[in-house]
Amino acid sequence: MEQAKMFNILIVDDDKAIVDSLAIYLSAEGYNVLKCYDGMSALETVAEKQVHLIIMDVMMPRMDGIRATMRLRETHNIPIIIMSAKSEDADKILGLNIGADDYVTKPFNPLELVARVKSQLRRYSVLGSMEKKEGVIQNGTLELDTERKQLWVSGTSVRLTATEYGIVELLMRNAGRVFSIDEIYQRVWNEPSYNPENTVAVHIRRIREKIEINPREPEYLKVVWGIGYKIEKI
Amino acid sequence: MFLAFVILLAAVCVIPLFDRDALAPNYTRTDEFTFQLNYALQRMTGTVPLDAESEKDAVFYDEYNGKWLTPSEHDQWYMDSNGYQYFFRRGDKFATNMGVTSVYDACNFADSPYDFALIKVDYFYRGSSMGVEFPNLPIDQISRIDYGYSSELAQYCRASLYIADELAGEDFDFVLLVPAVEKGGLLNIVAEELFGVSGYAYTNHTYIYWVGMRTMLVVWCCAVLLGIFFLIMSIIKRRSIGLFCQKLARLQSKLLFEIKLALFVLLLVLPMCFFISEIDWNPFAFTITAISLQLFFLIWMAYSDFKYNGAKIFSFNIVSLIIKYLKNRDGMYPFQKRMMRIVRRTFIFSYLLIIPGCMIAFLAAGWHMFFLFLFGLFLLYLGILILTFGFDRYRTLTLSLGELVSQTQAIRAGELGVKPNKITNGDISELAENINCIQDGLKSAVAKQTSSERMKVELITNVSHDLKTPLTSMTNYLGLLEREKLEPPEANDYVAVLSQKTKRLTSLVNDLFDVSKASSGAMELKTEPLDIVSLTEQTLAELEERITAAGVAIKLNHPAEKLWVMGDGGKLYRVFENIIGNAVKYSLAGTRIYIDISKGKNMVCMTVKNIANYEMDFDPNEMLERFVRADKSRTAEGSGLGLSIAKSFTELQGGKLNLSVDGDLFKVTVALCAAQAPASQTQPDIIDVPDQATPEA
Repeated sequence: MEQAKMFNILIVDDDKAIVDSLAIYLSAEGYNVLKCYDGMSALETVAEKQVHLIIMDVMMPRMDGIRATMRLRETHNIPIIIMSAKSEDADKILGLNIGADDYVTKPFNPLELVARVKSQLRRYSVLGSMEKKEGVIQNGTLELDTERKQLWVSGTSVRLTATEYGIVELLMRNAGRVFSIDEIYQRVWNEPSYNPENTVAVHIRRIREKIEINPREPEYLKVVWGIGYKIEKI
Repeated sequence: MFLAFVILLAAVCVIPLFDRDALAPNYTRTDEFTFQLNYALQRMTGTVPLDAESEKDAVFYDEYNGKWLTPSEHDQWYMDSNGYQYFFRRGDKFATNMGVTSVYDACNFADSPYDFALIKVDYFYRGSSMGVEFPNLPIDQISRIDYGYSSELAQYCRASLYIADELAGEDFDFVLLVPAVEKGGLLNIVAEELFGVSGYAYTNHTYIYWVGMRTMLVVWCCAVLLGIFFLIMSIIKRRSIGLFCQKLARLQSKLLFEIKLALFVLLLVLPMCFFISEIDWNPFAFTITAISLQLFFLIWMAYSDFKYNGAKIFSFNIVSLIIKYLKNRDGMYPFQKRMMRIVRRTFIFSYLLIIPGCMIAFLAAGWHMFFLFLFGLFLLYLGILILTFGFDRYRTLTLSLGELVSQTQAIRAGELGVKPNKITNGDISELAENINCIQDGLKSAVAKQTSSERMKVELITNVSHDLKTPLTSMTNYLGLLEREKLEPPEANDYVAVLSQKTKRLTSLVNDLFDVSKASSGAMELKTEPLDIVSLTEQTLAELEERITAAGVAIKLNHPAEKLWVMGDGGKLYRVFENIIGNAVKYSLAGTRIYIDISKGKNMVCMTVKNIANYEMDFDPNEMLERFVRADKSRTAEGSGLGLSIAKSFTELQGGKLNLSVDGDLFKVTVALCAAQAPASQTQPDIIDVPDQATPEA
């Protein structure tokens, strides 16, 4: 937490109550919070002060979050988390495509947002400068030490069973590839599949609960409905 | 046009120059003829003894000495410009062709032994004064020169004799002999003592020619001058000629084609007939010039007519007038009757005109009745024209109808942007207009519907935003409150209730948003082939905790192979989650939930059966309505939208959702469209785990 004090986090939302409540949560985690109530003033603040992360609403007066993000991306590389009442897939894809690093739909769990802020900051500041270690597979804030059979999420060690580890290693090594349940079973259990679906699916759900900030909206271990699972390549 | 005019004018001026030779008399022939004539006359009058002297040698008859002359070495011929010939012998004027036949001799025609068998003369010269000379008489007094009959003296010369009929057996006043020649004229006049002179016949073949020539020269000069004048005028007044042409064309446009044609033929043929009949005595060049001019002006008029009126000159004819009149009358009838009239009329007219026309023309041709033949042809012409017009009308009607058919097809296919037709065909213009109106109306209706649809979606988005924003604040502050230790301690419980209800509200708002979007049709779907078995397994895995907590068991039956359906994974998961979640929530503890997956013909079905933990005294269809819940007290968790959302989403993906209740057995069937297994995906090769970790048991 000593490190966290250095970070300036800018919260942009036209609803003052939301900004204030988030400020309380983030201050409690030791971050320095800056507040803005529209896109224009957010741009001004970023120009004036050093900002390490931005939490941005979409529907705002003067300049909306999407345009502000686009403008910011022209000059800055800082992480931007968009929080919006728009929950459609198309809105999320748009937000991520124009350069946002994460997308949270309202209403959200404030603790989840705090966790996402931490994750983004770690990815931005620590991982970005970290050298590659031998035998370590890295994907976003996930680090898999294949020699020690150890998984680290945002720098925190996560305990996995051997089966879970096998699944994670398979998926991490092939990040971005979709595995069907059969494929996972055959490769991890090392035997032909016979009605393995439920077993694999349950294992995966448990892994998700261990490594994801919000298991219902996973960031890494994603369900491809009706087909299989994959770890998103970040 | 102008150039053509100039060239033609020049040609008209030049033709007489070339034709001058044609105008010139054939002297030799005329001279020879003269002698032959004289010889004939002298023989007729008996002045030449047939046996006494050689006919061949006898060239000239010397009436002074009363004997025939034969040319000798010292003889000289002389001919003056008028064609008078003199015969000189040894320097003296020995004979002349100016006085050939004595009137006295001519008067003895009737008594002479020679029979003249006079044949009719072709024509005689009606010109002015001729080379008639009477020594003591002025020419003016020869007023009766026109009297008499014309005859031809056949075998000797191609001459004609013009003899007063009365002279036979009467007192001969005078005899006029007019021999026919091809060019000019030749006249022998036999005068009588009546005039108090001893009559002589005078011959002059040149004078007449010369007179004709002089007239021609004057005419020709005038023509050339006129031509030059017109040429200059036409150059100066170029523009007004154009204007004149236009005016002329405007006048012509008011004439029917048939009338124009008749006038053309009349103007062309009649003068030609006239000229041709007179061609023998009219100079050839004059004829040619006149016909050329005639042709030129006719062609010029036709040209200007065509230039300014175009093809209209053909379409403006009697038949088109008749048809126009009939068309106007047709307008009074409704469409069906109108079309029937057209068909009937076309057939009747063509049968009534073509067949009789053919018959009349054929018969008339046999009977050599020219005008009847023409009449037959005219009937034929009318019939064929009406038939043509009828078929043309049918053709345009067919084309227009075809256009309408394709237009309505496009409208039916939903292409409302298709170009409205521009049919002005009188027969179906009404129909075309109506279709255009329907298209317009439909277009605006669709546009209205689209915009209201868009407004609905916007409304949903805005309402959802307005609901979600305060919810966010509530969640955040409740979270903060939950951290505090409140006084009195019960307050912590209050906050817990608030927090729970806020969560419920959140799920309600989300569900409401989903169901509104699904029913407004604004939902975006990304359909792809999905394995329904895998999806069920995944759903069950997601619900594992709730299943365990509810104390129910799941019995899953499915075929060994994968069953592919077309669907949007996320949306289909919501359907399955809602249905199975619902079953879990309302199942009697300790019972089993049966999930059967089976493959139909084109559909794949998933059936969920469970034993309800309450009495289901409701209509299964009512369950699918929004906000209807099994427990009427509405205390349980959930929005009551679960099955409604499941139904909406299923239907969006082309599937069907059915509910049935049989006692305590609650059954939900989801049928989805079967799909082909996806082609082998282009995925990267699997990187295998190096030393495969053997999982613990």
